[in-house]
Amino acid sequence: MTRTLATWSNEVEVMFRPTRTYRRLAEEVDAKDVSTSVVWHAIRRPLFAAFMIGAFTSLTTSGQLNAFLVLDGMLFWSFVPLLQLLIMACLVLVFARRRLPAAKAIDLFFIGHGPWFLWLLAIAGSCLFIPTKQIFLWPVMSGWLMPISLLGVWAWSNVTTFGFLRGALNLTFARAATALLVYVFLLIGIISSYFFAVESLQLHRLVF
Amino acid sequence: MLPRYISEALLLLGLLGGTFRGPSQPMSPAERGGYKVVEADFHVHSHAGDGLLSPFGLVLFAQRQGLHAFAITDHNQIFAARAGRWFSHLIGGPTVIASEEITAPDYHLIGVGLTERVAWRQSLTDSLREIHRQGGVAIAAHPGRKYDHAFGPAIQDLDGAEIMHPLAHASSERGMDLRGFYQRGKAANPDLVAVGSSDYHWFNSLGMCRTYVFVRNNEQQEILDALRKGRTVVYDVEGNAFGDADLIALLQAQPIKRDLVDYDYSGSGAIDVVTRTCGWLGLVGLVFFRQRKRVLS
Repeated sequence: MTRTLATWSNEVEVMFRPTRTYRRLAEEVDAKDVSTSVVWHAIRRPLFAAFMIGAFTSLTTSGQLNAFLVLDGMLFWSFVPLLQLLIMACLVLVFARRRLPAAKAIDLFFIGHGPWFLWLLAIAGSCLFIPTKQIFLWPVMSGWLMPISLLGVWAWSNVTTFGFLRGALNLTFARAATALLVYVFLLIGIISSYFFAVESLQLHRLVF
Repeated sequence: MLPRYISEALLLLGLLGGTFRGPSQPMSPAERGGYKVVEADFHVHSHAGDGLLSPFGLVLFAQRQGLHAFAITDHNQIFAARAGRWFSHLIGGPTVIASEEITAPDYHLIGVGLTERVAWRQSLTDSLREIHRQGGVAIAAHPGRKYDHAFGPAIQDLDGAEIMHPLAHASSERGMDLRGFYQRGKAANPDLVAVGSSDYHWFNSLGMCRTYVFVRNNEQQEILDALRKGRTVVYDVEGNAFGDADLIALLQAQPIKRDLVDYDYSGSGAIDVVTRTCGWLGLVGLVFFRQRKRVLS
């Protein structure tokens, strides 16, 4: 049986009803995906995530979608979606090897990046459309607004990830919580380790 | 509701406009009094540290911002600066000077023109000595009363101080603090040179605060020599000039045609506004709206 879907993207649906949406998405087969290669199925959404980061970089720095700056951001920030992909792929293998094909699991996982995309678009939009003195001074003048919004988005993305683990991978509550904690710990730990290793991040530093 | 294909078209329009419509900043330094006036930013961070752009992206962005030279000064490391210098040399871009922001608990010190990383676990005096051993120039980064106890005894060995920094835009008190440090330093060390830097990490502030360096050519060594000899002019938030009095007079007689505080994104004509809006709307459409498609269930 086939049916035509409504207008909102999967990212929007996952943002507001993560577990239920993921359960449905895990059962569905997109008619187009039947003929899609496994590799493309696995990398298309991580690539889009990298593209969004590149677009954010370009818009907030130059005020335009400059292809070179977009590519620069995509390439040099690709370690973030790549790291997420690798960690989640390992977790899928450990916790739910037979539940879903790996490519589909990764594809579904990255649908949960809606909160991050929303945040990137909101900041980029603010940069583009508000008086520009506040743009470059935002990190300095906004006080706690940026860190709080970042924390809020991070929490929201953890909710969608938990929904993926419960809905798409059908893990029990305990196993999903464990997998989420491992994911968060590894992701933040690896990224922080890099900054501590190059001594860009130091415990004594005060940030303006 | 915006069909998906309209989002893709808007995105394409934004990309084309953003890529092929560059800002009209002149690339060649202006000439005044027999000097080339190089517009430089001596405090810039890349994403290898805690910035947003890669060293390569910084080179491309610096060109758009009309900078002729800049120093990549990641915290306590120098490898990204070397990469930026290599890339800029490859594409004939601005002069990129390998540098470092030595970030210690009680001082932040810019070492401009370094060949090796300077360790931060040492006294300010030792850091200054190491910078000079490598032939570099030592600049106090965003100094103020908070760092007086560290910089005070070593002020004689300091080459320059940031008198202009985005903090001065955020707060008049911080601006006064920066100027106060420079004036106190200048009283103790008459050779102390005025520097304006953006301390760029993200958004559009690269080159927002800049130093006008008077040189014979745009080579790194000439720029470093000019810094040591104090051939700089910096403008504060109100447009007051600091630096060499003769060079200030040169610029007053023949100003360089640029807004002293240019907040706008490079390119703010109607077409630029349209293309950036289209690009942003295209992204919104791609994220929030789907293609109409069929699923098997």
